Amino acid sequence: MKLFSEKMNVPFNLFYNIVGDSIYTLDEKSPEAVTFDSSQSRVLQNLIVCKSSNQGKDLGGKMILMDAYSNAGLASEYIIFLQDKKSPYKIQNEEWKRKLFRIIDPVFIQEAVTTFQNNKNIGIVAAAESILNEWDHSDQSYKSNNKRQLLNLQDQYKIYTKDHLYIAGTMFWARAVTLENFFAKNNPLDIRSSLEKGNVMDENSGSNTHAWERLLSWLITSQGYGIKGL
Amino acid sequence: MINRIFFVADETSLLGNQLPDEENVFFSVRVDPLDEIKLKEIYKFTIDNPRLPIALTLSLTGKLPHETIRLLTSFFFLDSSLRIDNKPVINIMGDNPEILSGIEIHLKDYCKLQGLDEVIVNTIPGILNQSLNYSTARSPEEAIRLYREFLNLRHFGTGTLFTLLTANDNLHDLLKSLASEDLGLDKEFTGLSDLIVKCRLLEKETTYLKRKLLLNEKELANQKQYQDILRSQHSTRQLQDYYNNEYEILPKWYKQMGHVLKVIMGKRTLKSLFRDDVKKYRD
Repeated sequence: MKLFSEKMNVPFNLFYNIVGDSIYTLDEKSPEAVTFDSSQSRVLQNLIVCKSSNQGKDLGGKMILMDAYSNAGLASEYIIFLQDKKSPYKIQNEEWKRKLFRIIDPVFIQEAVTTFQNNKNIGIVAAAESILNEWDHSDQSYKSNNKRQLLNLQDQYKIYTKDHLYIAGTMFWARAVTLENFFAKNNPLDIRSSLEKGNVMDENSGSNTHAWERLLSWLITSQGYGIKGL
Repeated sequence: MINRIFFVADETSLLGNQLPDEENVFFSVRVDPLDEIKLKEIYKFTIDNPRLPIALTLSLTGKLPHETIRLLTSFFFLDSSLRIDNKPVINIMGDNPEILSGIEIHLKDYCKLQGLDEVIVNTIPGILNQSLNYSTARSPEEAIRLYREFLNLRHFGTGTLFTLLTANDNLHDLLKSLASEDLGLDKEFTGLSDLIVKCRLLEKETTYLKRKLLLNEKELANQKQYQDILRSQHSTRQLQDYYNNEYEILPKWYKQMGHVLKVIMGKRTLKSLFRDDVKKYRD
């Protein structure tokens, strides 16, 4: 909460999900929910706190928040996806996290808004270093453990992209209308029900959860919008 | 309160926003679940009133479509919706037991798909099917009578009373009257209410510790998984491969030149080229 208050300098609604079945949140009393007073914040307009089970990792949480976004009727111009990034098995995890959180630095915010305003065909703005591409031209397929899930889900949800770029870590700015369009037809909770429970990893085999990490970008680019890295 | 009480109102404005916190007293809004506009209004109310956790009470007359079941599940994810023992709560009421049980199954099935394995679904008894420890009051007077009956039947913490409120009811006074029934119990059995409170605290602590144990076991399994990945050839192997390909394959004289360059650039101390017992790199 403090992080957002310090960094955000434009009016925003905060949709915040806590994973309930975790030892790290067992004693958490959601102080934000109890103490939030909109008059105390210059830029925070509304605070919506959700508590979820550990399903679909951060993607499961994002689906719950997209559902809450839709139910609460608090339409916005842009949506920023963030998460408390904890991947203790990754080398240089802290450095990666710092880079990803750069997207809510005041300078980045200014640049992101300007980029969206000046380029109507941009759907995603992200930290440049988080933009990846797993498309293997020689194989004409994805070089990923999640290849099977990706192809199935692309067919199921008709998400076809030309350039296959996606935002690793799923922290990025999105033009809200693109997400609203997609989730109006494909309910986020129904999608979440197909995500794996618990601490799912894709080191040895694929998962729907990790496939959706890619699809969350592609559902925007498949609507004809581009990605801009800053 | 010794026994559990749900105050059920048709409007959120009738609920106890101004009441002090009272153990075992819960609030609920009755709604026709097919009325999506009303459901969304209550959803917004739940978000805006985190100090007043509420559960929905569904008036059921027929089956519910999947979209409605899904919207009801959305409530369970709101942090400000009512949870008892960490489980989401919903009440259902209606005249047809088959419909009620069908909806309970449908709802619980969808919740399981969402990782919500334990949801409390209370069936509010109708006039004809009051049970020994589940009762419904339709007026404050009836609420007091039924609550007294609970105590007379020795329901100490096992009774649940649903009280349907109307705009004319004074919630503050009603709660005070019900609380005085609990106090009356102490006159008959000295110290009983204290024992019940202590028992409840111990039960809460046991539930908390069981949950803590379960979550610690999960976390241990997670940590083991991380360890396995670290020991395997994933990230560390990638780093090693990168080092080998980018640096290790270079000729020795080239690497040695690199160390001299480091000294020239001020990154490394000159002495460290010849001795191992001096500071090697500058901060």
